[in-house]
Formats: sequence, C-alpha cells, structure tokens
Amino acid sequence: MSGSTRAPDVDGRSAGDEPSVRPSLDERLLAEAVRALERDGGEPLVERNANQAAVQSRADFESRITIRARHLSSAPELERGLERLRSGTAWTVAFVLVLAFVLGAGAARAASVPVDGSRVNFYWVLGGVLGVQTLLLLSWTAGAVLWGIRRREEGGGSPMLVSLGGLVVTVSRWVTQKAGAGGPNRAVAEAAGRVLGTGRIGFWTFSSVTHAVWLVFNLGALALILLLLSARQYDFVWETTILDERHYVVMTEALSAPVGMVGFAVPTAADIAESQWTGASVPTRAPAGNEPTEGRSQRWASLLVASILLYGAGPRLLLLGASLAMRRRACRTFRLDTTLPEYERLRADLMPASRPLGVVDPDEGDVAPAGQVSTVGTPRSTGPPAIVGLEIARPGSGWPPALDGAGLQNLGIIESREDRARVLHALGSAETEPGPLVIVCELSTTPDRGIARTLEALRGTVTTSPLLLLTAGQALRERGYEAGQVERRLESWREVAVQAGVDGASILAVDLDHLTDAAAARLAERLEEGTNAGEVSGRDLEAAFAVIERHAAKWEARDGPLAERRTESNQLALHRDIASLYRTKARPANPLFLLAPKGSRPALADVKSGVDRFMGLLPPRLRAKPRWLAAGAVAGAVGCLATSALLSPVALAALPTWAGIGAVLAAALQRPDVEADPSTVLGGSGDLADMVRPAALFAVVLELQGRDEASITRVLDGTFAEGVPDLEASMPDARAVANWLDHVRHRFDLALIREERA
Amino acid sequence: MSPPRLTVAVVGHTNTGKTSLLRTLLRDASFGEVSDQPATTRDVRGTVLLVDGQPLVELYDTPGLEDSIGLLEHLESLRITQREDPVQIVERFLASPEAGSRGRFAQEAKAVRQLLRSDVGLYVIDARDRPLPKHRDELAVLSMCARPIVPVLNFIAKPGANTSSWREQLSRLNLHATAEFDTVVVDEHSEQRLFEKMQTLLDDFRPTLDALIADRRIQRERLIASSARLIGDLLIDAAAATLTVPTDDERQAREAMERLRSLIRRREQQCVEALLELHRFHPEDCDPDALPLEDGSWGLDLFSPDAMMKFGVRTSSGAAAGATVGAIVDLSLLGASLGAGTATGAAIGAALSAGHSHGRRLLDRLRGQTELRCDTATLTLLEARQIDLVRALLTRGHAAQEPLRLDGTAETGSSSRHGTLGLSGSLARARAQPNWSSVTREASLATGSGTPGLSPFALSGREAALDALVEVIRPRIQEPHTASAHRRRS
Repeated sequence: MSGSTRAPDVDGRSAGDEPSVRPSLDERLLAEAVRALERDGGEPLVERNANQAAVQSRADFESRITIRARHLSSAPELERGLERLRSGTAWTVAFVLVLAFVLGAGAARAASVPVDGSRVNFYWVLGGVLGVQTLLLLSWTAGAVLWGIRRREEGGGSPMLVSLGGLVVTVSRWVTQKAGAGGPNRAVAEAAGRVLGTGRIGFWTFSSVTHAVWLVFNLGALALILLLLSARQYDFVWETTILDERHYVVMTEALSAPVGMVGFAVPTAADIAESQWTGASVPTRAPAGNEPTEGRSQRWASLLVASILLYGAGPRLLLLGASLAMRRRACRTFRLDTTLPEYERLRADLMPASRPLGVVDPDEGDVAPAGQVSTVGTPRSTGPPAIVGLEIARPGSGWPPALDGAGLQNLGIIESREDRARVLHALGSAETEPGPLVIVCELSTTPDRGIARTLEALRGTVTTSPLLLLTAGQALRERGYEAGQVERRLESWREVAVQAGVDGASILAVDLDHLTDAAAARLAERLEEGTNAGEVSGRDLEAAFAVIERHAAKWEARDGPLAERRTESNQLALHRDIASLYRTKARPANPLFLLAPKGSRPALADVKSGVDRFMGLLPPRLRAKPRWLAAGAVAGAVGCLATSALLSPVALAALPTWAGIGAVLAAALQRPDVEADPSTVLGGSGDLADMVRPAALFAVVLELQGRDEASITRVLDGTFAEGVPDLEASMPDARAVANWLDHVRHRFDLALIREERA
Repeated sequence: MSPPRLTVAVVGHTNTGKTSLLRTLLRDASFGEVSDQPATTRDVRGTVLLVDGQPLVELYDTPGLEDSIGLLEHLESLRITQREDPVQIVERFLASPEAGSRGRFAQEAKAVRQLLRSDVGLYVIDARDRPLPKHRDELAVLSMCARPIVPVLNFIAKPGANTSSWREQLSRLNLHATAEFDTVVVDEHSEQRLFEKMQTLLDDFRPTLDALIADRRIQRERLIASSARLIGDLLIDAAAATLTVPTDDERQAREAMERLRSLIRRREQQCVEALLELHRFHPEDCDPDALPLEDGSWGLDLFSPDAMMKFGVRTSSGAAAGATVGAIVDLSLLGASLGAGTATGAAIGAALSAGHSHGRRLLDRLRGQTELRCDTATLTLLEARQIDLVRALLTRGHAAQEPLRLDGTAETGSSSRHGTLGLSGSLARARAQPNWSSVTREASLATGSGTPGLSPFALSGREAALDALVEVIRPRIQEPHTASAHRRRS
C-alpha cells in the first residue's frame, strides 16, 4: 500500500487561510499507531480536546488526523514506543554493521590464505571478497526493476524483496517486540511495520540497509587486506588448469582499465604474464631480480585494493546514497490513506460537514392562547343533525355518509377560506341549531392551528358540543403508522379539539371508508342521543338533593363533637356520591372537572385550578357573601377531588393532603386562618349549612353541565342570590336542610325558565 | 476566490418533514427534534454546510406554517393600496403584534422572516397529503416574500404519495422546478438533483452548489471505498482463519469447529458495528430494531442454512447446505477423522473445510494435525450480507425512524458469480496465509502461542490482496439496485 498513490482526491487542499505546515513522517507514524490501537480496541478513542485541537487547526483532513493523534492522552506512550522501536532498530542495524565488518574481514582473511609460501592467488582473493555480493547486487537490481514494473502496472501492492535488509529489519522488529508486549507496543510495531516496512518507504529502507551492510562488509575486507598487505609480503599470482593464459591477460586488463583511469597503479601486460603460477616452486620465467617483482606485487596489490573499492564498496556506496535519497523522498511524499475506515470514521468529528449556527429566532413561549369559545347568544330550537367535513377527501363510501335513522343535513366539505365562510354563515343564520353538529376530519391530516381555528369557529355556532368524527385511520396505517403512532395522532387531535371547545366524550375515531353495519348503527344511535341532550328530561337534581339530605341526617345522627363528625372525608364522600349520580347515565363528565388525566393522581395544582374555575362561575352577588365564597371554593376543591377519584379509584388512595388543600382554599379566599384549619370552611363553625352549601352548589353546577359558563353563572345567580333571606340562615338540623333544599330547587326551576326565555 | 455563501430557508406546512430534510442533508440524525406531531420545531435553527472546512451553504429550519388561510387573510387586510409591493405588506405584518412572540401568527412570522433573510426557500411537502387550498395559500404567502421557492416532495417512496397531482398543482402555481427528495430513502442522485434544481433558480450561486455537489460525490465515493475496505478486511480475516487440531481427535475437532465459528461470528459483528459507525448511524440515534440487525447483530445466524438460502448462496452441490457442507468437512479431512462429519454438518449447517496449502497440510499431517477453515459458501454469505447492509445504509436517510428490513438481495441465485469471488485471487491467497487473519492470530495470541502483529512481508502481501479485493467489492456496492435490496414494510 502506498498512501500517496491511493485516492488522490482525498489529499485535501489546505482549508485555512494561512498555509499550514504538512505533518512530518513521525507525526504520521504516530497517527498510524493510534489507528492500530483503535483498530485493536474496536472503537475510536474519544477525547474532546484532541478533536478540538484538530478542528481549530483549520488544516486539511490528514493534518487534522495527525494533530488529533498528537493530542491524545495515549500519544506519549505511543511516542515512547516508537522511540524504543527506533533505538532498537538502530542498535540492531549497528550490530549487524559491526558483524558485517567482521565478516568482511573474515572473508578477506579466508580468501587471502597463501597457496604457497607468500604466493596468493589474486583472483581467488578478489572472488572471495566480491563474488557473492556481486551476484546479490545483480539479483537486487533485477528485483528492483521488476518491483518498479509491477508497481507501475498494478499501482497498488508492492511485493517485498527478500533481501538482507528485510531480514535485518525483521530481526530488529522481533527484538523490540520481545522487549515490550502489550497494546501500545503492538500498535507501534504494526504501525511501523506498515509505514516503514511496506510500500516505497519499505523498499528503500530495506535497500538502504542492504547496501550499508555490504558497504561495511567491503570496508572490513579492505581494512584487513590493507593490514595484511602492509604487514606481510605477498606475491600475487594467478593459475589455471584449462583456461588459456590470454583470457587472464584480457580479464585483468579489463579489470584494470577503470582502475587505471582513476589513477591507481595497475599491473602491466608483462606483470600479468609473469604472474602466472603453474604449480612449480619457481616461476617459469626467470626472475629478473627483486626490484621488478616487488614493483609487480605492489601493482597487483594496488589493483586488488582499487577493485574492492571500485567494484565492491563503490557501487554499494552509490546505491546506499541513492536509496537513502529515495527513502527520504518516499518519506516526504508519504500520505496517510484517509480512506481507511478507521480514519474515515473520524471525519465527522475532525472535518465536520456542517457547523451548527444555533437558534436564530428562538421560541418565546407558547402561541397565543386560543380565544374563549363564544357561543351564539340566542338559543335556538334543535333541528336535524348536520354534517360537515374538514379538509377531507370524499370518503369512498360517499358523502355524506349514509347513517340509518339519522337524517343528516349536508353542509359540505371545508377546504378553502370561502368554504369556511359559507359553512359558518349557513350555521349562524339558520333558524334551528343542528342537533348535533357532526364534524368529520381525517386522522391522516396533522391537526394544525388552522384546523383548530375552524373547529373553534364551528363550535361557536352551536350551543352543545359538536360530535367530532376522526376518519381515515386505515389510511394512516397504510402509510406505515404503527399502533402507537396512530394513538399519538389521535391524542393530538383530541388535544386540539378539546382546546377548541369540543367535548372530550364527543370525539370518536370512526373510519367512514370502512364503516361496518354495527359501527354505523352505533354512530346513528349516538346522533339520536345527541339530539336529546339538550332536553331537560334527564334531570338528576332531585336525586342529588336527596343524597344531600341523607348525608345530613347521617351526620346529625352521630354522636360526639361536631368537628369530629363532620370531617373533610365526609364532605368528600358526599360530593363523590353526587358526582357518581351524574356519571351513571353516561352523561359526558363536566369539563369543569375533567382536570386530572385518567389514572393520574390529582395534584394540588389541579385542585387549585378546580377552585379557580368554580369560583369563576360564581355570580358577583354570591361572591360578595363570605359564606358563599367559601362554599364555592370548597365545592371547587372537593368537587375536583371527587370527580378525579371517581375517574380513577386508584387516585383515591393518593389524595393530596388536606393541609395542602387548606392552603389552596386560603389563597383563594384570601383568608390565612383557613390554611391553619381547613375545617373553618368545612363545617368547623358547627353549622350543617357550611357543609350543605358547597354540596348544593356542586349539584346545581353538575345539573347545568353542557351549558356555557355565562349561562351557568346566570342560573346560579337566580337560584342562590335572590331574595329569600333564610338561605343565609343557619341550618341546625336535617329537617332545616331539607326545607332549605326545597327552596333551592324551586328557585332553580324559576331561574332555568327565565334563562330559557332570555 | 471562494464561491458565495448561500442561505436557504426550509419552510413548509407543519409536520411535513422540514427537520427531517435537514437531518438527511446534514447526515446528522441528532439535528433538531422530529416527531409525528404538529409544531415540533418552534424556533428557527441554523446550520452551515462546510466543504473543506469552508462554509458554503447555510440552512435554516423553521417552524411549520399552520394557519396559512388565516395568515393570507390577515396579510390581505394589511394591504393599503391595490398595487402595493407584497414585500412591504409582509414587512408591515412582521412589525405588527400579530407576528410578535405571543401573536396569533408568531410561528408563521418566524418562517416568513427567515425566508426574507434567505436567498431561496425549500418548500417541503408531504407527498402523501392531498394538495389543498391551505397549501395554495401557504405558497401565496411565501411568494409575497419575493424569494425563489423550490418545492421539495418528501415521502415519495411511501405508499399513498400523490406525486403527480402535486406536480400538476405546483405547475399551476408556476412552480416548475420541483424536486423529489425522500428524507427517509435517499437514492444516489436525488440529492444532486435537488441542488441542481436550486441552481436553475440561483445563477449567482452556481459555483457554490457545484462545489457542494462535487463534495457530496467525493464523500460518497469515500464512504463506499471505506466500506469496501471493511468488508474486504472481514473476508480476508475469515478466509485466512485457521485452527489446527490433532488429526485423530474427533471431540477436539468439533470443539475447534465451534470455536472457529464463534470467532467468525464475532468478527462479522465487529464489521457490522464498524459499518454502522462509518455511516454515522448510532444505536442511540435510531430505534434498536430500525436496522436489519437484532440488537445490532444479524438476526439470522451466519451458519444456518436459512441464512444461505436467504442470500441465495448455493453450496457447491446445490443440495441442502448442511449436509453438503458436512460432506465437505469429511472429504477435506481426507476421511481421516470426523467420521460423523456428514451428520454433524447436517445438524449444524456448518461450513468448514481444509485449506489449499498442500505443503502445510502435508506438514500438518506428518505432525498429526489437521486444519479447519471457513468454506466458500460462508465467505460468500459474509460478503453478500455486508454488501447488502452497506447498500441499505447508503440509501437510508438520516431522518429515517422506522425499521428497515432487508430481503435476501445481492444476486439471488447467481451463485456462480459468488463462487468466483469466493475463491478468486485474493481470498485464495488468503487461505494459504493463516497469519493474515486477525481472528485466529488473536485467538492463538490469547493462548500464548503465536506472534503479535504481522511481519512487513506478510503485511505487504495482505495489503496487496486487500487492495485487490476492495477493487472487486467496490463496484458490487455501487451496482444499480436491480432486483436487489428491496425495502419492505411489515
């Protein structure tokens, strides 16, 4: 693998404004070590400050990788590992070089053993020193050429040349690994092996070591030969059995020619001819005295030394220089392969593709609260049910949906502003009020504020809650919505509808496209029911008042101090009985008291808002009287608890403490004494009236449920605030209570008739 | 000279996937908040796309338009003269209390204000919705801002998309440069086409978008290259994985086989995790069952005949995988051991065979040892599964929240092709090099034998084989999705 040739597109341009310094090889090596470490660990080391440093550099991706590596907390350890590896390699190479020197000397010594007395075979010495290495040099050259060709052709992998250098580096690696095992060391070894041992750098590293070793080998040989030549007398000869002497002359002359050119003394043709040794103890040619022989030996020695220098050390020196130069170049051009998965996965952190700009236009609280739903002032008589679609596609079963038994008045489908105006006008100007108004919406539509606004407007045209049909649930499921998601969508719709004033119980999920007979019948029945809802027939006030009388009699019958008999829980029990009365006929619960979601325990906040809402209903005339104000607060608080408890029996066990309720009541009444003792408003005064008043208020409000709040206030005003003084008086016993309740009922009927007439 | 910075406002009706669009464009599943409810995004949030660290495109997510009918009505009421410049009306609206923080149109005002600050608006449409008058009013409001608008049809890959009727409606409103961009299922070119659509309306920003398109292409190439490398690495590790067992010990051989299997399984799991991380899908970002993996690992065991059938891998003879593989085990061990090989194989559907290195095998036999390796069918299955996963990840938008299921995909039935890859060059070479496999290297390291790391020689060879393998895998990931990688909803 060679980082520089792969994926050139990844070599990013410098992103910063100022030219960044390219990372050094050591830094890249460190990055590779980190990569090996992370690869072994299976996941990247996450260190915020390292990433930060990298991002802040504004350099290209590769530089950022190296900067991150440098800033990791494990970097020092890896660097030490690299240092150890480096010195280990250096020591090994040094040792091998010394060894090579010794071997070179040894080879020279072995080759220069005199054949006879002082005679030494020149070619034997030369071959012993240069022979093997020359062959290896040739093979290295061939290998290098082949490697170059393959690299060019394949562009990728580089087969390692099995060379002396490779062997040396492998040994050094092995030695260093033995020195220290464990994650970081392994990572370092792998990184070094990958960066320095493969590709171009690897090739030129091994080749440098190879040539250095052989260079030192030659130097060793040379040193020994010089030593021998200076300390001993040698006669250089040559001998042959089958070759013609002319060959030797030619060979020697060919060998001497370059040497002579460099300036060394070389044997003359006569010297060569005279140096042949035929095995006899005396040279064939007559010795021409010592002088010429000595000169000849020196010339031969000069040729020998020069040959080792020129043919042995020379090429190795050149190749060593070239290899080192090439290695330096390879090191300089080495790039991390940033397409490696371990690097690529860092990209998101180091070279983010985006940068958050944050919130530019923050949400400043909720959208404007929905305006109070104002119903038309004049009550009209109830006509047939009417149906209107809101942003729906015409159902497959036809529009309007065919519902047996319910003659539906078709108001069409609202989509545009014009449709909306048309329907609202039609509803507002009609003689009768639809009983009820049926609004059809699709579950696949997201309930938005535009829809909420239209719902509110539609709600405002009628006095009773419209019936909201949510259709097309199947279409939603076909979009891949799962049960939970459909449920959530239903919940969003419910929220929007209740906000718009639609009664929670009047929201039905019915798929008009897939309407079964049973479902259609149920729906028709529901419409029928809706038409009757406005009538007074289902009146429970008498029953409720009977409950109050019964409770009052029970309290009176008990012995003991009054404060103990008329406890808060008694009050709660009374309110619960009243509330259950209004639940048994499957009437919609009064939205005033639908405060706590089903199953949850009512919190004090719920109680407080119950009190606030109930007190909001009280007409000014009642509010002016402290007893009635207290009764209103108690009815709100206890009524809220009673309905909640009714909804979820579990919640009964977890009612908020009365002390807390006392605080709520105290705040509502602005009477600090209540906080200390809630019973001051709960019959603590010793008067049954203080307990009956809230119950009666509660019952009347429940009786009036479904009307708008202004209407309820008016009826309350007419019932409790007018004229009869004895309503203010105390009620000492159950008989007085019954009497009082009779009065109230009478007033209530009158007020109701007056309200209907108005 | 850097290209000019482009500012884009992402607008649209509520719950159409504006934030999802941004998530997918940013490849960041943690941007903003996404839910199937109206008004999930309530503020304007911006982010800037960087190319080579240089900010190029600013994207702003805006709250959805909800009451466009009311808003248009309101805007019309603010009109003073008949021929007034619409932008003036919009500015008058933005200055009015209705647009204030608690105003009736506070949300809409945020979107409109941001559009006025931007160079272009991307109008996101849920293609499953019917085109309604409220959408027309929305576009009417947006067009009053006098900014080019590119409608973006989202969720086109879902059932019930009304793509053509939307296109027709938009053409009637003179919006012709409509882009189709599904934030959940992203194909290779849809993003590029979206940027090109923007280019047609924004001549000044042509270089910006060109740079972005080029960058996106490079990113994708990088991603594929890295994925291919991870897969190649896995395959070499699996192919080279070798365990040596005494020839005549059947019990040990069976134990070793099970061990090898669990090693390979674990290695595949590593690869899956690495792929998920590479593609920036983190378990915390998506539902745990939102990928074809159960608890982040493949539901179907690698060594089950079902897995092979599903991915269309046929074992050598084409008969039931288990039995055949068992027979191979028996044959390849020269019938010397594992007399019950066929039975064992059939029972577990195993896939192990002896390697190709005859010299080593001879040596092992002399030492009374046998080697266990993964067989070709297993390698083929490994490859098919990872390629399948990568393809699914490449087309999965970072806004996707629902489960993605893969059918057996890559090359159903064309086992010949798998066969050639399974034993071709690199893997065949890997088989003869047990030390190339990190799987068994680490296993032997744990027991104290073996050497850590690879020698530079082995490393070079492995790298060369891996490079060659990556070149084979890369085009297979990029292959067009013909009859493969179906996404199906349950």
